[in-house]
Amino acid sequence: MEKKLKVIIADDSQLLRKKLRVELEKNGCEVIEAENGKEVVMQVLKDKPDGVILDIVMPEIGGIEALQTLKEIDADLPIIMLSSAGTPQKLMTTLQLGALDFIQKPYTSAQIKKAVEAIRKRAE
Amino acid sequence: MNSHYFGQYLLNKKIITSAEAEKVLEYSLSVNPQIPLLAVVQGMVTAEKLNDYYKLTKSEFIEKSTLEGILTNAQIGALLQMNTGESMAFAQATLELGILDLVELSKHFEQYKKEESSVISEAIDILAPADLENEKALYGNYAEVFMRSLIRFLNTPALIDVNVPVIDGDCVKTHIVSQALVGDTELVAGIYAPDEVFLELACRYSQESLEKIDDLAKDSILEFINVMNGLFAVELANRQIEVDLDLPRLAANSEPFGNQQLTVRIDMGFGSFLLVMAGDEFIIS
Repeated sequence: MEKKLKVIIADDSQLLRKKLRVELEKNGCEVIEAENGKEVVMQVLKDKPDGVILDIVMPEIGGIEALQTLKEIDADLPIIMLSSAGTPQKLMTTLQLGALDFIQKPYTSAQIKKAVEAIRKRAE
Repeated sequence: MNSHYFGQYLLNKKIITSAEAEKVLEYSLSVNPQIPLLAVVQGMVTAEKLNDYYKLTKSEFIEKSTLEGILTNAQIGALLQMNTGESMAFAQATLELGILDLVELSKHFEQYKKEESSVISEAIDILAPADLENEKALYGNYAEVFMRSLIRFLNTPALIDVNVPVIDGDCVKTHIVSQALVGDTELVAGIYAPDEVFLELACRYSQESLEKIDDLAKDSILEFINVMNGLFAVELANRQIEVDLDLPRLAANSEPFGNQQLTVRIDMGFGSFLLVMAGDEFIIS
């Protein structure tokens, strides 16, 4: 039986977190939520997740800054960006900073499934 | 040519009035395009040939048209299985409300197909005053993305009212949302809606049965604006115009006051709201 992946969703949208939680739990994940970049850093330090799904436009600390900090904490932590601002420049910036992938909102179930598989591969 | 905006074309060209458009929009929510209209639009038969028959019931029409050799069974079968868009429901509604007949409708639809410029940008062009000449193109492009997003994410046909740029009545209870796009160009865009419309939009985006404007409802509209602005940012980026999105903002009972501001009334079948575009933040807290 596959181990349940522990994944943190970091997004300031309550609606997005609610819907994405359902998708991730369908894909066999244990889900922790964070509302902003500051929270996600604290949660990663506390919960040692298998992966993070990270928005960019967030209060307190935004996603780009959070990504840099998380990579300093754990360079191997798989981080999937999930953002509305999926411009080629943002895509390049986040991948160069070590993000595993970038999903432009609105996401599809297939994209989330693929993201979970990518996180699982890294976790094994 | 985007076939979703035939209603907008009719309104822009003043073929129908704002009052008629609003009536048609509401009515179109409960109609399906019928075979005579589809047959004419598909070029299977001329409108003149069907102008006396299109008011028949479906079964009466099928019988008459096959008996008289106007349409074959195969053609009728194909028409019955067609996926149709908002434009066809709008067109059917104009027929059933007696605003246009089939010949008139067919003529206007043919002309609509030939027009090269976007009807949405044309609507913005009509509405924008002279002092917004520099902003017209940007606002027009934004409005195109916005109207597409209404259909895609909120499952509602909608029209830009080119005649009435304000919401009717006394909007005591309203909510307003804005988000700034900053970078190579500056734009702040969002919506200003009466509470009942705001709530309906929130229900549609979240696909939840929300009964009041609570945190989830507010968040729903904030996320809709954020997603839509992200899509616009990507379109701009494809034209080498880079922008970043600021955090979206929300307020209650606050009118928009921005510079280079254009407010555009969007009519749907269940109510209206204002699309607001400006050169700077228009929610004054």
